[in-house]
Amino acid sequence: MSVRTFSTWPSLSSLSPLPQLRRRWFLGALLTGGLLGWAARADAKAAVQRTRLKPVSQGRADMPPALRAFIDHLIPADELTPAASALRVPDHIWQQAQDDADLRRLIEVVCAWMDRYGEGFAVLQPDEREALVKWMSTAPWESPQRRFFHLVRDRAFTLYYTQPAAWKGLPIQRPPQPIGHVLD
Amino acid sequence: MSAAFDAIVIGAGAGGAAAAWRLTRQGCKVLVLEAGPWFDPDKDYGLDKPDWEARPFPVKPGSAGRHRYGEMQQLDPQWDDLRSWHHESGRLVLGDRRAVRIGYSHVRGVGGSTLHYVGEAHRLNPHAMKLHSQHGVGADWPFDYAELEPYYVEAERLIGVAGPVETGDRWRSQPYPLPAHPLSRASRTMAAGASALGLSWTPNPRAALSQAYDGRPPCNYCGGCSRGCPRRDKGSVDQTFIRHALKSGRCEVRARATVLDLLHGEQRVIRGVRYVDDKGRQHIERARLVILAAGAIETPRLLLANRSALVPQGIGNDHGQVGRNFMETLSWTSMALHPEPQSSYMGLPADAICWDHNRPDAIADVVGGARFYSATLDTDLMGPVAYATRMVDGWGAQHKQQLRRSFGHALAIGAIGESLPNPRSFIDLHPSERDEHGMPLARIHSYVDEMACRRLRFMAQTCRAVLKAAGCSDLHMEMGTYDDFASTHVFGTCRSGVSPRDSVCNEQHQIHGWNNLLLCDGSTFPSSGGGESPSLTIQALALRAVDRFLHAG
Repeated sequence: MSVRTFSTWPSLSSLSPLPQLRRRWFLGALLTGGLLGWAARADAKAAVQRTRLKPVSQGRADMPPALRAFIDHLIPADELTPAASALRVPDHIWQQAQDDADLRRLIEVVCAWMDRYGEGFAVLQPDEREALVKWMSTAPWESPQRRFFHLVRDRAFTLYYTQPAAWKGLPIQRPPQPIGHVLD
Repeated sequence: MSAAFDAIVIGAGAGGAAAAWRLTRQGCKVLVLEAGPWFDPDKDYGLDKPDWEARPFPVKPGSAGRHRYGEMQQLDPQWDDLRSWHHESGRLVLGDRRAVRIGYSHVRGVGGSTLHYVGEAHRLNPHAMKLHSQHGVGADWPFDYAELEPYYVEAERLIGVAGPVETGDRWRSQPYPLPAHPLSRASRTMAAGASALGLSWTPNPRAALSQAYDGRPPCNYCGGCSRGCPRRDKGSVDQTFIRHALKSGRCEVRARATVLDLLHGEQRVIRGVRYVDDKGRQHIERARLVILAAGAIETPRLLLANRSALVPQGIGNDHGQVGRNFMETLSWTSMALHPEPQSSYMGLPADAICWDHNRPDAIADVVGGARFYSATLDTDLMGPVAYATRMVDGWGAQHKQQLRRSFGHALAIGAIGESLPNPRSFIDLHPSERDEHGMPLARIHSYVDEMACRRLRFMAQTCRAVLKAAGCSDLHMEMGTYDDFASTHVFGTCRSGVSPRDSVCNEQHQIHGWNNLLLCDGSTFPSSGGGESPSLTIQALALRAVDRFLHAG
């Protein structure tokens, strides 16, 4: 055999990572949020209106604040390794999005959606962020939230773990070459 | 005007490189035209970079062929246990129609797909060469294993194949040039699981050096063969056949040279080729022998696209056989985490293999065999990114800790089975889509029939059973080609045979009626074998075809 792609991204009828936003995904999210008390201010109908697709903003925009907070929620600092933002993972993803209109629009739309609750995703309580991320991780594939979750998670882990500073605690501390391995 | 070359070889992959080398050994002057670029192991491969995991085999201008796919089949709920899935993503193919997530995996370049292969060096099982006469399916090879055996020996010697002493069904006139590689810890664990089920698990013959050989260093078990070998110990043909052909002084390789026409007049003789270089300039070269070795997708494309008043259906296609009998990679892979550390990020990919079900009658109630192999590194489970994205659940601090606990614990077992021809699997020309030179793109039609599904079910059940017997509990991911077309090995689209009514080339691999046009790639295989990797057989066939042609004068 030879190399193949072992992506966990499923086949989808539309190749675009950004499907049409549908009202029921927002309703689902609101239900989850409502249980925590911070989504009560939101109105499903208004949410759909506010996130209706618009053309990608031209030029280099500032990174949506929710993106950094979302990625650091996925990859926080611990006793051995830094948070994703300390290794500039959100900056790299936002940079990638400048050359990928679909990705940029997905980030802008879903981050706007995440920032709708409370004072914004970045200042939510950890358990509130966790509830929202958990909902996104299991939302139907047709929803932009699930696609955002999967795409950003994959990219974030890839950008993070391709930096030696993230390898502390692992049995490998260098690339496979030029030294290779001694079989045990 | 006299030709500058005795032979022109189209394609510098496994077959074209072997043919070119053989021609130079026989004193011929050879021009190799390769549509893709050169790859430089010192500059192009990234296994020594910190971000090596984000660097698969490189893509360079011209290194990926373009092709299209026909409509894939409706999936049947009775085979739902063969759907690809991931423990977090769920089904990897949504809906009820077969998908093309991965597609035809190949490299265009000097070295062809041997540049990204892991380097299994398999001889075909002799029992797989008489499928029609002995099992009533597919087609027979027009010669037998004994005819190929000396050429296998020669190819193995040039590459430096490392293999075991045991021969099994594949008798040998000489031992492998190099001793087998030691099994990794992970493969020893899987061997123990296989043994508990009564299966034998042996070192896989590998085109990777177990000792220094031919001026190349031995493998250092980094596990990254498919990303391109920077040490040059992997036996990709740029480092073996092409290197030696160039050393002879009688071979010239022109990369980024895309052949457009096989020049012929009013007789069935190829006079030369017209090709376009990377700057868009067209050239004509002539020779008395032309060898077409572009692979089982591009070779039929070129033949079908070369229509003329003499051959209105394309060269070699008088009986509509070019492009038919497409056979693909029928594969299954199961992945899991073992509770104990396995150091499975190191070693040689596919270092162990089980041939027990490789014969065409080895699986109950199924025609066509399969082989099983250690696939942990083959499935790229060798770094933290792979674990973080595929093997470890969730996110947050818990994800980090779980990654540290599980790294090196992954095990994967793969299986590849016989692919039998069926009328719905074939290659044709796309009716409207063309490449930048105006040539129609190849279109791949593939269908997995019931017999293939039954074979796949056996393969999947055996992979799961071996992992369980090895000590793994929950599976994390499974991938198969029932619901997702993914092919690294492709065969049969210009198969060899006795009659032009059911084959494209004869037993000497000359296209029927065209004595100076040889085919030297996987397109000539009448049958795929029971999961064997084809490169060594392609090379042996190419050596034989050249010898036959030259000896015939």
